[in-house]
Amino acid sequence: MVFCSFTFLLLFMPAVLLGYRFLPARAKRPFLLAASLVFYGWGTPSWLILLSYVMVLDYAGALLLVRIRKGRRAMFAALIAMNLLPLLYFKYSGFLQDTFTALTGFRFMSDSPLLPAGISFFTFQGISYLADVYRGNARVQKNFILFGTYLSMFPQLVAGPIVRYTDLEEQLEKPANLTTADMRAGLERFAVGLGKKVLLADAMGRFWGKMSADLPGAGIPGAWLGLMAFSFQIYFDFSGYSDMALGLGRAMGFIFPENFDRPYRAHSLTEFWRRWHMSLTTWFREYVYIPLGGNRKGERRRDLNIMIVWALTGLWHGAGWNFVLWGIYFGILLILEKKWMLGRKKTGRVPGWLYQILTYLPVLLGWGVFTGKWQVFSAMAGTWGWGSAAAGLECLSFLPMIIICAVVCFLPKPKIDCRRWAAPILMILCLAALAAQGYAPFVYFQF
Amino acid sequence: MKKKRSFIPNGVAVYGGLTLLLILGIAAFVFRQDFSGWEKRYLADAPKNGSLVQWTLNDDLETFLSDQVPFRQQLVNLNALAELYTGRAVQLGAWPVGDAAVEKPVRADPEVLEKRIAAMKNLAGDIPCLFLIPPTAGMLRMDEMTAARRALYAEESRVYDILTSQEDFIPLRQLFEECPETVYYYSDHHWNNVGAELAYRAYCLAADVKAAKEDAFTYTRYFPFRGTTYTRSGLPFVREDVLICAEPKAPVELKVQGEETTYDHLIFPEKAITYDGYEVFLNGNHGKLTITNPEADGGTLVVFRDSYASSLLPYLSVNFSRIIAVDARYYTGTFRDVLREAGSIDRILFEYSLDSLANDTSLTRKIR
Repeated sequence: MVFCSFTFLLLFMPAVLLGYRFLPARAKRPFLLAASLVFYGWGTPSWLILLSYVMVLDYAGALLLVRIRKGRRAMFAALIAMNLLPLLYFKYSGFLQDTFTALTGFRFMSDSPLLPAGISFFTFQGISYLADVYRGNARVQKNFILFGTYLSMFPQLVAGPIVRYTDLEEQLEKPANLTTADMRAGLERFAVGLGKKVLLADAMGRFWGKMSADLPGAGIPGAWLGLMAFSFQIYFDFSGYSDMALGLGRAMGFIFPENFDRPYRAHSLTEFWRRWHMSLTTWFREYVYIPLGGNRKGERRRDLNIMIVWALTGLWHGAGWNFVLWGIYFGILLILEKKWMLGRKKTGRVPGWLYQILTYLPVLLGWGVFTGKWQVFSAMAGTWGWGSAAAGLECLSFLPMIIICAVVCFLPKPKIDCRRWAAPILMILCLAALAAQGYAPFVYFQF
Repeated sequence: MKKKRSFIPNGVAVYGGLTLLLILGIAAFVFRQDFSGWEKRYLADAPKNGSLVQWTLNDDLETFLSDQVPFRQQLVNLNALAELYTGRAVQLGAWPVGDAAVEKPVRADPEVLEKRIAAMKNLAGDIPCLFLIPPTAGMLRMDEMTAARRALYAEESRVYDILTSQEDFIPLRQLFEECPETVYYYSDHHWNNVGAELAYRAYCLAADVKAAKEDAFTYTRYFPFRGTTYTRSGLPFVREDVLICAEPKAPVELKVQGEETTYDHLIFPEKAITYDGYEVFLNGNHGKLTITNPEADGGTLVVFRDSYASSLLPYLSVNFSRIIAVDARYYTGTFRDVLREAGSIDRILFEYSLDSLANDTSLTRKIR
């Protein structure tokens, strides 16, 4: 099930939130677990087998980890491998197959398996739980209902944020008193997230779809505006989902960690990645970069660690060489930035907006790599001139929306909190957009 | 920390809002409809047991709710307005011009047009034939558009002008442009009675046939009518039209191929109140129909046509003792079959919109 669908908005969400609100405290967690399983298995019930596998594996694995004395390290490694196996099979077997076939001409699989929604998210949550228990940073959860609720909680199950167990442990065990003010604040945030996804991201996606379908026809303005639109699409799509997840969580009394902090306002790439998909950046820092040695083993090793982390980050986003390249591209830029830029003091002569633009530009080009549509660079460079009249009209017609998106992304957060009155309007507009266009799946489901 | 104040208490906002959403969801099941008149299509039914067996419940339920959600028309209207006022009018299925909605510019490949025209002329052989190609409403209202949109219609306009400047093509564009009245519906892509009558008189002039005077017809008005461009655009401000139908006073008979009944009228008032009011003419679209008028002396006219001719044929029926009208989209045979079966034919009229002529794939096979 997806958030931006009538099934969710008109049936599932109101029924679950009202049910959760009025159920006695002891029934809340089992109810939430059951609702989450229905949510996940709604479209493809067979995916529940995979989710249950990870759930049982990590629950039982953590219990074993705290009980055994010998071979803990091997046991931990085995558990991590068993967590990663489904991810490798479902997400990367097709990629491995294609690469292998390109090199040898031999195929070992007929078809790539269908990628289960959110597999990267719940696998990483499971790994973080095992790692925290292994390192003694978290207490093992003996209550399967509570653990299952943590791993499968529907607001953040399929597209994050990646919530570490330690962030939710106390909230799961000692639920805070749920107030209508919390619920209202949560629903308002949900509406804002829904608006980002349905009204902004989908509009930008349509424009990028049109431009990328015929890049020679799109010409210079079409390619530049199209790629900008993609950068806005991916931001509003993902941050919109995170807002919805955080909002729904809050409406049920949970506080999830923030995932986005207006990343396109960053003044450096390092800052950009502190503001973009913060839960993933944190995860890689905690569970890959620091265990690899971080910056404690000299500059060369640090650079190598950064490259490893970024290649993996790229690979996490998708099974394709363009994603790996995209990760490496950011790895190199971040290393260069660390070496030559970050140590220097800002003189004050350079205005902040220029830093913003200088950060946005490499990010934008990075999205070009991310899309895997290499023609976009040729089109941006002017290989096909100014494009067709039809593309020009499309650009003009989408320009107001692109400007709206740019304003939301680049300008500071308004001081007036307008969520209270904006939320119902956004909700109605989203229902209108959904009625007119059907429902569109989230971009981040593929990750 | 300062508490947020609101005119609506939290409890009312939360429980009221969630309950309202739930009511909308349940109402979709309770008040479900089979057919959407304004969209002119059948709506999805509630998921059946098979949905569970085939694991298609998710898609089936979503399609159902999307079709049956209460206030769907108002929601689609609202979305169209949102698209329009954020500059994305071109995203709509039909484009607003003033208080009308017009079809998007037609893409017509001149080479395809040339081939089809040649095939049609070849088909007609020695029988005198004429071509009637209605200009599009967008083409006629280019002056009211922004420069960018005008640029898109300019190509369509250029192709149209080159095509209709050929011999045997009835000149309509100038006639329509100079007409002080509106010749197209506001909410539909077809010409209205004024356009149809102008086309009729232009045909008579080109074919050297004496056009009937207005008193040869009875005019009936049907209101309101909202056609296809309204549906496609979704814009609520598109003006409702009045269907004005001209019915010949002469004793005409209409015979539709495949139907037993012979009708003694060409206008079907009962259709005016259905989902597609345009079917008031000739009872809708048919593959082949024959109109006879024993009082007329113009002989037999074969019309190869699309839906524009539906409102034109009542006018022509005054002049011809027999009209055989064939619509390639619904007719299963070839045009040669029509000519062979018709016996003696005095004239042929090819009436096609630029879009039909350029893009109707059913034409290719039938004009061979």
